[in-house]
Amino acid sequence: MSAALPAPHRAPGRARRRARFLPRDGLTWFGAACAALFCLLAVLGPLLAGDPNAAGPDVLAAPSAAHPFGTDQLGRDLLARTAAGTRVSLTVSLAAVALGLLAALPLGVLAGHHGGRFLDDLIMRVLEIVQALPMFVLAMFVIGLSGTETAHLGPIPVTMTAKVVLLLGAAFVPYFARVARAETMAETGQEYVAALRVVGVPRMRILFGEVLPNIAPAVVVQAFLAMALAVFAEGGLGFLGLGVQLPQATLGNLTGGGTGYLPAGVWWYSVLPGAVMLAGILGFNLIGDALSDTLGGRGATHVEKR
Amino acid sequence: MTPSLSWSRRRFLGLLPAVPLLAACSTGSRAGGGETLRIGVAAGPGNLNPLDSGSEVTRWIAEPVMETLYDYDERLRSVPLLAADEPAVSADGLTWTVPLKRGVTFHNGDAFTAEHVAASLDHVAAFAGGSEWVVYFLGYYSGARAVDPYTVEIRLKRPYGLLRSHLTNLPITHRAFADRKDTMMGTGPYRLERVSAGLGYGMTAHPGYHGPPPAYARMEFQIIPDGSTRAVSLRAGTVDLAVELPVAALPLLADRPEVTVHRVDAPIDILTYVKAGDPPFDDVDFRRAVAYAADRQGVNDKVFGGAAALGQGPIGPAERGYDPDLRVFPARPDPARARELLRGVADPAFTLTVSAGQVMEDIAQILAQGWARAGISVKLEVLQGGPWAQRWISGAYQMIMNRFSSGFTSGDANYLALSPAQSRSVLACGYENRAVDTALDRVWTTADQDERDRLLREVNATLAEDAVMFPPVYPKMIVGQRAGVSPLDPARMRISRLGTPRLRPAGGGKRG
Repeated sequence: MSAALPAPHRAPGRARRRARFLPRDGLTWFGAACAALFCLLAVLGPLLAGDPNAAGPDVLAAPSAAHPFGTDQLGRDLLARTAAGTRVSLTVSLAAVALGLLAALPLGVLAGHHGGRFLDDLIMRVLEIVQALPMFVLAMFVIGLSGTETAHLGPIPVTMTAKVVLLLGAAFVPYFARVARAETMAETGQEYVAALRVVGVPRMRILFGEVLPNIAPAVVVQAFLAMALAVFAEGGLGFLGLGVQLPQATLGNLTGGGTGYLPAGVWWYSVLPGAVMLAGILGFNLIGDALSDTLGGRGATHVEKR
Repeated sequence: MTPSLSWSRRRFLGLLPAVPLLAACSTGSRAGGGETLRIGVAAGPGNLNPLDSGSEVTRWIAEPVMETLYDYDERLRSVPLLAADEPAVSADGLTWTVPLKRGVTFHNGDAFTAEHVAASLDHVAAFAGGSEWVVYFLGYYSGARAVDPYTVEIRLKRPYGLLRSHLTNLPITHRAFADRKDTMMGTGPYRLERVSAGLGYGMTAHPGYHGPPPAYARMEFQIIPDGSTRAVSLRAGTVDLAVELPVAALPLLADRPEVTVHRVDAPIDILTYVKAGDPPFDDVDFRRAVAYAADRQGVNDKVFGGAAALGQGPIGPAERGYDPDLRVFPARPDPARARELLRGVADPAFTLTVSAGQVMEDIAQILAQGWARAGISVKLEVLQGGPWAQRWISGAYQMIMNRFSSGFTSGDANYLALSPAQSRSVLACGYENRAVDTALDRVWTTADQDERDRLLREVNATLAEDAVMFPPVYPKMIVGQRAGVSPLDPARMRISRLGTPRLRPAGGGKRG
């Protein structure tokens, strides 16, 4: 009988690290494919499908070789409009997540660094107030007050697209900030931070040059999950007529606009743009979930510290 | 091996695409009928006071609940209803005395008397009330008083021939309810009993009604926002009448012998006018270019299934003053003519402010495409009812568009829709034309209907030629009904009404 010896600890090589990040189950691959299709449609679709506002004589035509997604009530090609809507959805979602990260990371890192002290309390209580307002309710309240037309902040015009980005971005800030704070608190307890302090590295450089890159994996997970939420929220607002306005196609206003024709058998009008939206939401969610397994939570111990 | 019962978030997400399939397998619920007349409407207005609200639905709900001094007969002649006789007009035309019917009671049991009529008139004439009627009354109405319980006296600042029309269209409410917006109090055959926010409105027959007893024990207005769903509800028999049926949904009702779809020329206006006093529409050539480049045929074909009449001036086929021979602008856009008129315009662009809703949004998008072909850049601004009305009243627009049923205030005319063309109107769009001002003034003051009709024809032509008001189409009123209800009266529909107080189960009598 022989006892197995513990394997000698070896720093993981690049190939092994890559292998660890590769998804291992079918659902993750399915999610990646959905997200890839969504992004491809957003990036290449508008270039290939033509003018989304060009109207033809065939109204509410079923999917065919000429119009793979059919046409709407004004004779516009629904593939072109879905592609344009997907681009809007992706752009708004990316911008909202980027905006949320931009605002949340410094706040979260500062709060985490000052954990338990006044600045931490101040930042987190303010963010909790924002977090207490459900995102949709907040968006509907603000858009209801300011209307769907372009508003002006002094000399700066705020278009409806900008309003949606700002609202979603603001709604994401508390979530990103909480994760950043928790990760920062964990990181600042690490020996390398104390060592850096001892050798006289400035505090800001430690926080934003060393700690911030190390909390990135957890933040990336949140960013992917927020992308899914942003696609959903942008679509939901568009569905309710509170999103980006006509004649710009969005996945939400296409899905909403088509529901009135469903009883007449015109399923393609809302189902196909809705399916694209679903692909985006599902794709980003599944990727975020897989990343969470790999980078955060259960996989956190495998991540090398810089 | 024991199968794992744990459900990861990822597995759950993987099942999401199946949800729409499950939803598609569900069935809708069906409501019963019985002694109830059920009407499917598109919206549930927040303001239930028909003296203040411009909402069609409010007016339709008010039809069986509230009555007017005079009513329309089957030939649309005005005949006494709450009034006992024709008004007596003083020699100078400034005092109108109206005798009232006796023995009429409101739904709360109070007697219908002159003080309620005076209170209703005072309410709509007050600027603070925010009623669209104020446009009619401002400058003409001086006051009203109860001479005795059954005689009301209306005093005017100047002769006002149109007042006779207003007395036929203005609902009379209980004086304690004139300012209320959450309910209705009238003398009609049905009493409003229940308001379920977002769901509908329930009425019961008024046992003390002064006219023929109501044919139904109950009447229900059900809010069904989606037009196709209203059509499906009508087909399924969950409603007896469905209003504002979209053309795209009409195939759902084809080959259904139990359902009749009425398409009637009614005073429904696609209000379309420009701020003629401000750039860029202060340039008549720019206005005409925009009117030449409008795709009227496209709007008719794609939004109204070819069933509407093509628009020229502001007066449509169901309205007094309509001229079927007026042809100023082409059916299809004429980009060449528009470009010619735009020569010298540096930046042909404007904002079109429309009210939210599928029909208006579709019209706006088709028009914008036509204008784009002529090199005119258009920004669409889609506003909900309240913000749209604020823009309209404040005059903060370049071109404005909405659907408006004139019949509720003007009967078989659209006097109110023309008022922005008057330079002194509270709704003035900045258009200055002394001949139009004089003609519209005379339209309001004269008691001679022939003269009024002639003047309306002239104004209609001028406003079209000057491209101040140029609706793309004149839509029809489209209402569906089931065979279990007596046929809708085409005369009532010609003034945008449903005639619900007179409807009864087909074959007569009560439905059991």
